[in-house]
Amino acid sequence: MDRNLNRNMALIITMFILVFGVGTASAQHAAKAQADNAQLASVDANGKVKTPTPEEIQQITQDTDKNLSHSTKGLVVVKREDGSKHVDLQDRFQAVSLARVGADGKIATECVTSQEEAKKFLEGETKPASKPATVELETK
Amino acid sequence: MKKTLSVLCCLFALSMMTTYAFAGADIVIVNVNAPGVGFNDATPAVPIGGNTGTTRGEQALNVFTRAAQIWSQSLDSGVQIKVEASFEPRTCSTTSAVLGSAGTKSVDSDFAGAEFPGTWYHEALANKRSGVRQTPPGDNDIRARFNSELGKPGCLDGTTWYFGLDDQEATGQIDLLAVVLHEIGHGLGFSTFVNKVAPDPAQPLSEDNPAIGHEFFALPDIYERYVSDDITGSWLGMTDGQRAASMVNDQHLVWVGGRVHSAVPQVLSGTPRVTVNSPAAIAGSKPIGTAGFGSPLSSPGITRDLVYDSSLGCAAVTPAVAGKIALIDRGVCTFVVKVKNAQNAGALAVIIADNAPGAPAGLGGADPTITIPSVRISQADGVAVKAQLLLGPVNVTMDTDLTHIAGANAALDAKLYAPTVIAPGSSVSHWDVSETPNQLMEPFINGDLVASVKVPKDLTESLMRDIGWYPDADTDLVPDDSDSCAGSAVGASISIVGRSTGVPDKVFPNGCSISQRIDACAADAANHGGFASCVAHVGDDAKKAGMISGAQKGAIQSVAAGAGIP
Repeated sequence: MDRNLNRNMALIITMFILVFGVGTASAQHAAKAQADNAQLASVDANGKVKTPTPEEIQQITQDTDKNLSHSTKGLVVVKREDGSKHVDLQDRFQAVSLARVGADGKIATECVTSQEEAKKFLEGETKPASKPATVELETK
Repeated sequence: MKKTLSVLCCLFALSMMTTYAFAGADIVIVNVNAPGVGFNDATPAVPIGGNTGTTRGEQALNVFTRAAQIWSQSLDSGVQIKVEASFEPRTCSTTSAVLGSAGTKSVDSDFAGAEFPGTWYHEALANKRSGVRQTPPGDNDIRARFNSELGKPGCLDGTTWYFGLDDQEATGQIDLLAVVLHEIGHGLGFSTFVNKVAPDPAQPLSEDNPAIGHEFFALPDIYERYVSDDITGSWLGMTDGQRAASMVNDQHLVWVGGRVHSAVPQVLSGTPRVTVNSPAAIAGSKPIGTAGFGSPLSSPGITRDLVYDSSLGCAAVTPAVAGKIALIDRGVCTFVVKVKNAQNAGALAVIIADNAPGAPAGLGGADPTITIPSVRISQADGVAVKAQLLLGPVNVTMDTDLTHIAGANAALDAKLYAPTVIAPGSSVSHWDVSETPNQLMEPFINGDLVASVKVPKDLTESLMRDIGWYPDADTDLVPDDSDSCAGSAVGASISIVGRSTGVPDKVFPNGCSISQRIDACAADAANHGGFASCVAHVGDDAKKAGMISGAQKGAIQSVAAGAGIP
């Protein structure tokens, strides 16, 4: 009985997102266009949108650890005869684009340049102070 | 047998490198995927959005090609730019994924051609400015690794890459071109190397354990040179602690390069506004909500008398609005129906008066056939305007306020991303998200991006100019705006009527090569003596400039003497 209820809940939520989660428009200036790639995410048996787990976040931070490293440990400044200097960054100091399912079930993306930023984004805590909220605008 | 093998190896290596040479830079995508995977994945795919590839791998590579082409059309370099690229499995789950990463592979300072001494440059930029590769020929300049698994079961289920080249990604698709273009931008110079990571508190501060805000090996980088805090000043003069504080000084971190500064009014939008010009009783700027359809407000904008249509505009709008600004009440039908009907009646713009109290929100809806601008004003303002219309004309201007540009400060410097919520370090290497329209190098890949890095769409090319990617179509290391001779070819031996002098051609500071000046001598000389004399002068100038030796000057004059010109 409970399982059927949960399944029906999930179905209703999915239908709700299908009906209202698409086709909304943002005003050109009042509310900036958010990624059009927003899509429907899967829901669990309780009808709750699945968001990244701590384990999944850890896997991503492990994958990007080297790219987002700002450590100069082991990097060598090579001084050439002409007085110029050269450093092989060994894949560090890179930028990384990430994607996650948000609590609203939509995909969000962000390019980050440090592990701190990556974690904040993956944990859903990135709330840029100046970014206007994307609102579902009235159409009539 | 060995020879055959080496020939085959060479052919294979060539097949893995795709060169895209355009007017300026020659950008090479060095495909480092193994056979059968990534860019070499032979899974059939249907061509889409201008991408003619017929396999998944080919389509992915075509997207990288297009990104290389776009950058090539903006940047000039006499040294090939090599992007070491792979389309490979990156970490992915049903809820999160690494889309891709990129960055410069190395940095250089104090090379010949560097604009600033003691400053780190991204490798491709260092090569461009010096005119010679700073690293061994086999080295690459940028590393890019993108996730090949997106859309496969278990990897952001329901979300796929869009491989089209036309910015037409649909719901559930992420535009690969926009992401690749963005990430390669970081590799070309849109990034600082100032430390953003908290040091290990158990260890003393050092180059290996630097404080937040510490410069890379204690030298500024070329990007950092143009980062400034509009309260505390340039990053160049700051301590590590001051830079650390500045990088989270939201809305005050700005880019102070001259090219971006000049481009801001052309690229970023002013604040949209509606101003009642007359009568005096209701004159002034009114709060508005803007529309998600039709054209945005612009400057100088539209100034006209208002014409009120009290019918709600759901079936038709009075022809009296032709050439005017229509005022229509909210209610019954959608905003797009009202605005479209007004457009059909010849209105130049539409103001919707709200039918409920409160601040006016935006106008939602979609209709690509609507081309006129529209806004919503509050119910209270609507009532006031309609009351005045009973007494006489109401004149209104709908435009954008260029003194308040979205994403720039009062000095028209573009803002950089420095949100206070991201502690201890923040991006810095992105435009701020307040910039409107959305910019390629904002931290979020917005769905409304177009694949352009140029004015009037985007500020990125201007930033690249600021850091030293100057236009140089003939790649003679003389910027186009001070280059007196187009098409200077350097390096080859100077020849006079087909006879080689054995002296390598070089370029004078004004952008004209020795060959070009000798050609001018030939064109202008009245007789052979005049030609020989002119060539001697060119040789003197080149020798004085340290471009050739005395012996080389003699070699040039010797060939000129026997050239039979004119």
